[in-house]
Amino acid sequence: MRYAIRHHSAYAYGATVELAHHVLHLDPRILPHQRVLARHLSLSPRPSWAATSTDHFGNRVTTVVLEGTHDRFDVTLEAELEVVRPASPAATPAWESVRDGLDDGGFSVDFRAAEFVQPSPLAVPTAELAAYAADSFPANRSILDAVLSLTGRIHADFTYDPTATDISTPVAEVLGHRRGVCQDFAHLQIAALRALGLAARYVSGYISPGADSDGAAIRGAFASHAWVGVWCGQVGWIDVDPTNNTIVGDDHVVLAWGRDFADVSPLRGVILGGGRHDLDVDVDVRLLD
Amino acid sequence: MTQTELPFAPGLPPSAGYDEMVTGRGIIRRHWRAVVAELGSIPGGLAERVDRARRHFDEDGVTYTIYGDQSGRDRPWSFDPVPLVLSAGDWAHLEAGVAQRAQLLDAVLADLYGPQRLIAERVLPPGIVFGNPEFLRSCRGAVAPSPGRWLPVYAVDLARSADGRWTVLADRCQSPAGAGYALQNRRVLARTLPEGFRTSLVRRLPPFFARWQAALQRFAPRPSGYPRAVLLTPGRLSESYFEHAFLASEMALDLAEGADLTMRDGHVYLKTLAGLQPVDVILRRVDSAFCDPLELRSDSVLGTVGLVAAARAGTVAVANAIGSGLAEMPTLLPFLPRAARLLLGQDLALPTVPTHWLGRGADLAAAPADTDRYVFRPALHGETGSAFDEADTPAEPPDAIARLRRNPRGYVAQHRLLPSSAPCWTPEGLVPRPVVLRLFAIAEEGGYAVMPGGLARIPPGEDPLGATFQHGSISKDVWVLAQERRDIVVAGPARPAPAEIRRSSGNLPSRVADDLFWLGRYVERLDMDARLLRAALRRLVSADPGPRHTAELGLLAHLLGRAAVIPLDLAGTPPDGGHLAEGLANAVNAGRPLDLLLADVHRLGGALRDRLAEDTWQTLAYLVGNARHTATRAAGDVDQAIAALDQIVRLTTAFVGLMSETMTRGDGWRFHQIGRRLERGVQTSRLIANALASSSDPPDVALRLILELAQSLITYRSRYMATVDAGPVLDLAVADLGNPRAVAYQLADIRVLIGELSTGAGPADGTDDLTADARRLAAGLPDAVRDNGVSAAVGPLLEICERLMKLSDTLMRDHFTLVPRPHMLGPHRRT
Repeated sequence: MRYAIRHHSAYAYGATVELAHHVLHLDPRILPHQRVLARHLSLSPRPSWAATSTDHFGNRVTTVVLEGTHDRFDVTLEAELEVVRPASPAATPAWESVRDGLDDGGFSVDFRAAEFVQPSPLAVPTAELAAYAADSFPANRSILDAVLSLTGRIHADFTYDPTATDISTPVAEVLGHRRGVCQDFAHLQIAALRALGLAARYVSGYISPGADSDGAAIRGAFASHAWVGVWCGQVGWIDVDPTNNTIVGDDHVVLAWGRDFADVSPLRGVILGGGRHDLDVDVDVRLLD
Repeated sequence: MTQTELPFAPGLPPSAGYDEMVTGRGIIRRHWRAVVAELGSIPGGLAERVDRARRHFDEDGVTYTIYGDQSGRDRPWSFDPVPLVLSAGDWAHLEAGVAQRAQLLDAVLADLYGPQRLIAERVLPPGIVFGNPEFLRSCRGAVAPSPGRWLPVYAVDLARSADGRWTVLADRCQSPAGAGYALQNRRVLARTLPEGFRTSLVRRLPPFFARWQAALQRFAPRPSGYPRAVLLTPGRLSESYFEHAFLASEMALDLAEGADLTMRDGHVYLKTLAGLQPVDVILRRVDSAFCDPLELRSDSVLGTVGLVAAARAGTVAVANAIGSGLAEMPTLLPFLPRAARLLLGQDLALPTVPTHWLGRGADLAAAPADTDRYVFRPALHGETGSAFDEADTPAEPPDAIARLRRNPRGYVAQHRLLPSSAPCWTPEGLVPRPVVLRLFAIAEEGGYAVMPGGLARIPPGEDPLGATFQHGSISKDVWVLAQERRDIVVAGPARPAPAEIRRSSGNLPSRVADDLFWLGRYVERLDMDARLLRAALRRLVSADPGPRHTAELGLLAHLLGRAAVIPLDLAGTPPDGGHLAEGLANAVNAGRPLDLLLADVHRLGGALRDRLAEDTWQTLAYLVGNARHTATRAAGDVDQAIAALDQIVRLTTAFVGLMSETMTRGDGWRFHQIGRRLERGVQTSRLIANALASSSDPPDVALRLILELAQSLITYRSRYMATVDAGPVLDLAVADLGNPRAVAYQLADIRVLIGELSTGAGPADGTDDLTADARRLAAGLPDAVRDNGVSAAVGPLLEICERLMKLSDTLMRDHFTLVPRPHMLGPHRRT
């Protein structure tokens, strides 16, 4: 599948900003199953200084400084990508063997995956989450089956409701109210998997509304989206989308990944001056063929 | 010499551990003999020297800030005059071991923030790195891979175990503290115990600091003759602020808080009166996670936005590198020997106290029960505390142990080590006490240099790592003995090229100018308030109280109320009642406005100590201490309160004189003077306005008081004899340009000072209009009251106040406004 993506963000400030620093995670990852054919980032006003680097997780990061007064900041990512995901493996190991491989007396068969077992600020495993997840993880079940069962239950048990939570709602509260948006469901599933000793990461990106759909059936289209990557032992990482109850396939475009949202927030900034600020975001994912 | 001849306190049982001074057979070790002989032969005994040392620390203002103490009083430095003596042989071993360990931990940091071989090759469990809050992901790859870059300064805590081997208790990598205190200890001891330094070959410390300064400059990324290095401090409330100011002054660094710095075009700048000046090197004393709200903790107000990006871009060198606190984690200890073999191909020269990570499997499942042999500490944080307070161990070990069992990975078990004992002075004689040693190393080209000395501490409790100054441990100087006299001084770095002569002070950091300005204002306010209160109290103890006294007292109480020196409701009580007398005497008590002003003056003086002449700061600290001491003893006694106020007036007078005789006439001086003049102008105008507004007719009482408080009685009498008339009084106190107490004098001086500023402030900034306005108002006053009575003066005087306050705001905005406080942009969320 080939896509054209346009992701526009605009900060409008209540008062003039004199100096601003921003960190942008807006560079789609180049992956075996994802080719980046074109990518252009336009910033207005133009930054007085910019640098790009690769972060700890391998995401490309742009850091910019805006000197001089401004009262809005526009960031537009335009990219063309091709996504060809392989079919998910027919057989995956039992979930306990994946867990045990991640913790061999403190060591791990894959140290990079082991990082994602650790709690992170927005995805802290708890006993309650472990108990919720446990029903999907009976003894000896294959890890993919178990994860898909959990994904399905989150989709069924939780109501998609953009008014119920905000950026700071903790996972424990989402579990209590059973309402939220894609970010909440992703964090909840990540924390639940970590509570079982499994490795899970937060994937930020986009989802296509589908060729002939008006998008109503797909949650997270026309906005930036997020889902969950799960470490499945020797078969590697498999992504699942609890918001849409699906294994991630060619409809999903990967931007960046990290332990949770805080590691890969598309925009993060500190401004001097500015007073109140509003952020307006719109995303357009167009299927090219 | 044998033990029996020593000045030991009687009846002490021999210690079970190693004794630094005495062998098991009661023989004084060779390297202690000279110092022991000196201590035993001091005429008049050691007690008098101890007193002197204490006084020196007091005078130098050496303090340690205690968190949670609201009174603004710092803990005085506690110091034992008996040094810890290390033989040349012991030292050679320690020096090599510490340098090796610093090299190793630098390599560990470079690896964990770089290729992570230690994790990939299963030397370190991934969880202790990835689950560690000190592993700062945004600093991955942020430092060029060059030796010494991650850990330019390192400290280590050691204790000597019973077998006589110095053993590492903990590594200090975040931003190691204590080297400055060690130098200060040495200076005081060199003064109080000079005999010791004559007979023992004690290696000197100053060359180490010169090397440190040179080493920091070498880190500068720009090839420049004069790299600018700053010491980044959390500020005056930081526990070791004394040391920050001390080191800044020793090594010619600018003391900067996070808000004094700004990152613009990938470079970090210091805000100075002359604009932004590039910063090349930062000696960091702010904890890593707080250094940059953009990429690290967003709630930090101590950092500089963009500092991590600048470090990553390589435009500024941060020492220690942001993220270096990771290498302090106690969980690292059991893995270090293997890390040393992997990264250095060496075995560690110094042993580490046996430490077990409880997350490592079943073999230690039994350990948590054994609190006699082990002390349990949080695994990831380098903090010194035990996993549960010593205090609650006996009471509730089951709970604490349950906590360990629930989360074994969160803890390490460390063998309890009985440190060696060293002699300590007590009024009863010398007493052996357990001692912990902190040593320091800096990265130089080609390896680490270890300071030939250190900070020895006597822990207050059983846990040797409880030896923090927060918890009140006692410090000692450390004497490293040289083999031969020529070894005492180790060569410093090559002498740098002689500096060019510079006379401008345009590079004065804005924060320093700001502090000097406010110090001027506070000292002046303190002076005026103290005089006003003293005038009232003196009338209370007057031998000849008459109706005029009572009227004056009533007016003074009113003025004191308006100046907020006493509560307003007290100001309204009858002047002949005992209630007012008691209230006035209590106005000097701790926590009242005058005491708080004293605390402010002390605080600002302390913040500026690296900018003030040594005597100025010492005198200020000494006099503030005295005044506060006298004030606390007043307890409602009028005579004592007057004594305290006399001391305050002496303090302000002495301080103003010292400043005027010692400060170069640069912008710092000018801002300080402007602050004083401005405050005196405001206070005098307000005082006169309040006195006139509330005076009865005829206003004789008010006019007399105005002359007295403006210290102009003598001049007035010489000009006008005894007639007190409104026109002449206001001319002298307000309009007379020749009277340094008059309002107009302040205004004229402010105008001159602003004109002299080298920072390009001109008439355009509006300050000229403000002073001109105020001067016109002042000049017109004598005529106005002659024509329309004293009440005509009130309005113009209050307007003068208002102009001056506006002037203050303008100066602050144009010159000091530090980089304003940034705020985070809320991220948008995915749906």
